Amino acid sequence: MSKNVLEKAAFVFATVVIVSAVWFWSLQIESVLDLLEMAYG
Amino acid sequence: MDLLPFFEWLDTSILADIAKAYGGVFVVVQTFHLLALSLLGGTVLVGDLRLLGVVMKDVPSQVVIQNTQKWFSVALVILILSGLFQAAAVAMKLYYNEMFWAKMTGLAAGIVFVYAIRRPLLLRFDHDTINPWALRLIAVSSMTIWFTVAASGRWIGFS
Amino acid sequence: MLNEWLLNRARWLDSMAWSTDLHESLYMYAWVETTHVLTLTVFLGMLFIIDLRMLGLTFTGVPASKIADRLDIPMLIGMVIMVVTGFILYFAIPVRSTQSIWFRIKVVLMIAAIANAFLFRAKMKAAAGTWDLDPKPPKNIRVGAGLSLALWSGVVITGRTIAYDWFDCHKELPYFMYWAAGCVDEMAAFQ
Repeated sequence: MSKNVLEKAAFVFATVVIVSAVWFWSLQIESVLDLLEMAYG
Repeated sequence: MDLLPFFEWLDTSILADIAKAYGGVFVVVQTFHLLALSLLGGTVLVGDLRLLGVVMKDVPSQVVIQNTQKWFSVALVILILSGLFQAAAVAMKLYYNEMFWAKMTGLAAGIVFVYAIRRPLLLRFDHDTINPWALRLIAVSSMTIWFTVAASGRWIGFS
Repeated sequence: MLNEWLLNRARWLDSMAWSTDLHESLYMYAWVETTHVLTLTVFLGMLFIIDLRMLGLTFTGVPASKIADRLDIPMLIGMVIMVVTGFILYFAIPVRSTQSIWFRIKVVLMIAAIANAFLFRAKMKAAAGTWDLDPKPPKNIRVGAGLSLALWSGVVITGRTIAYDWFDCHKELPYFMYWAAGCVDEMAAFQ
């Protein structure tokens, strides 16, 4: 594969990864906060 | 694609018998998992932090990537094998565990990323000719993926 | 004597409110533990790369001293986080850790690993300029690197086994095990 294609793939992939990771971890943090709220008020 | 049959097979396999019957063997395998995790993490961090210009600034980033890629693969193989053994002990529980699937998704994405994009690009082309933003994004997303895979793996133990 | 003293210190820590709070917390203990484990990738990860260079297995084209020097700071950052989180973990469960045979072996292995690291560094520094560019360093350096890998691996395995109760004091064990784990009360009952 040419450098150009690989660079583009890297951009797309990195964006998807970073967006998904932010979404995933914010979900986790949210559920933790909910549980702490329930436990300690 | 339903992977349930694979988990059912794993649950009754000899691996599961050993993992359940011998706590000592399980711990040793788990330790190898942790040691390989350290090695994988070390190679990822050194490579990515070099791409970001944080460590080893006086060693060309190509040299760093070339020297860490082999040990990354060694660590990955040990991680997958020792992970499979650990999974055998609780196969059915894992099949219904969301964190486990989050981890597997991350792992699959990480493997594709490393072998289809990161490695071909960084090993075949002079880093000076690669778009610097591509290099930075590769570094950040690589650390993000492997951190997520490792951390969600640890979380399986607590969930 | 030493066992009694250690146990009394541990009981004193255990009586503190935030030792209990931490142990019984919903997430804090798990987070500290996760940080402790994941920081292995920073501390042990850097150490592995340095040791692999000293074994002549990677970065053979880069001077050995350069690898050691450039990865020193990330490794020390990892070590500081591991030490701090390690103390917090001990603080959360002081009595059981004090009487854990694994914890005791781990401490001994860590002392040995740190001693080896200092000897190893001295040798590394003394030899810089002579074999620095050799792809494969001299034998004493390779032995030191191998020892370092073995000792730190031992620290990881004994760290992991602390979680298992196979040899806890409340179990029926031979006298020697009570002695080694410092099970003061169980030893008294044995006699």
